[in-house]
Amino acid sequence: MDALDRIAVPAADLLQRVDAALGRHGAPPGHQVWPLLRWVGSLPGPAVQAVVGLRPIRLPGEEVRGLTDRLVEAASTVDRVGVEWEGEAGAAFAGQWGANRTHLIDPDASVGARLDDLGAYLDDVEGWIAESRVALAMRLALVMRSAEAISVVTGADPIEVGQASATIGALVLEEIEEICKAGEELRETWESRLAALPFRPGPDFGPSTGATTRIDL
Amino acid sequence: MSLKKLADGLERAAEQLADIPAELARYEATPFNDLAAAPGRLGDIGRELRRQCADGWQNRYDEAADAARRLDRLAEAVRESAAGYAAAEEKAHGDNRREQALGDHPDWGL
Repeated sequence: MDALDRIAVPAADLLQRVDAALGRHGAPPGHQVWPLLRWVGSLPGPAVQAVVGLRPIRLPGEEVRGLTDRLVEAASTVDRVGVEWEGEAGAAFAGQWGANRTHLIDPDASVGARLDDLGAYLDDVEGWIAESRVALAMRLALVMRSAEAISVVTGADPIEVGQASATIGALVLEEIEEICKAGEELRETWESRLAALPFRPGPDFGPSTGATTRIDL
Repeated sequence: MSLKKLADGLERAAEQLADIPAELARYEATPFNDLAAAPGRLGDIGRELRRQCADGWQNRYDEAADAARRLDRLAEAVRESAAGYAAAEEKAHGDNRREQALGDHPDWGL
């Protein structure tokens, strides 16, 4: 249980009142809550619940990066054999093995580099979830001790309650907007590096020309 | 070193790679299932991140499995080459032995 879990329960009643007031009376014309409601596409209460449901978990970024060692070991297993194979077939093999080797462990674009990327992506996802939850918890703490919160809970004047609800709604949805933008940035940043990596075969040597071959059988 | 050892090495490397998909499946985590059911933009982002995350795992899984299969096929090709070379050498030795055997015998006056 983190700070957001702890504050979400007492904040739920306030947010329910805010949602009800916004649903019943709307908000003053021109209030900053309007563009936020349109952009987020949700009332504050359900939006907060969605982030509460985004659980803080430890993701296996380190374990996934560790799998890259297997690729290096696999390439070394073949490299260590060190066969002397001269001639067209030997050159064709060298080309094919070179293509496979590059595909496995090239530092820029390889299965190993993509495993490293997946591991780093998982670290970023973990960070985004944790930061989103802390930021929303702090924002909820701010609105719960605000004068507007007192007005929403105790106010009798519908206009006063509506104004206070709109202000609280805007404060909460501002934070939700920041969380959404960070999530979109996370997706855009990693899209190409999580995509499938095509294999590039080695050169095609064509049919044999009968050149000399030297090989240790 | 021989082609047989090279083929053995390629097969061992393929086995090392073939373990990776199972490891990935063991680690796979899906943190966005709940967010994908959220209303509004949070739900849109949750669905996009869930798709991206699933693709990331699946692509790494497929790449490791494909790489293992390619090394297996390369090992098989090397074994076939080795068998072809060995058969050619055996035939050449056989022809040589026959020629020597014929050469050792008198021509029987024919």
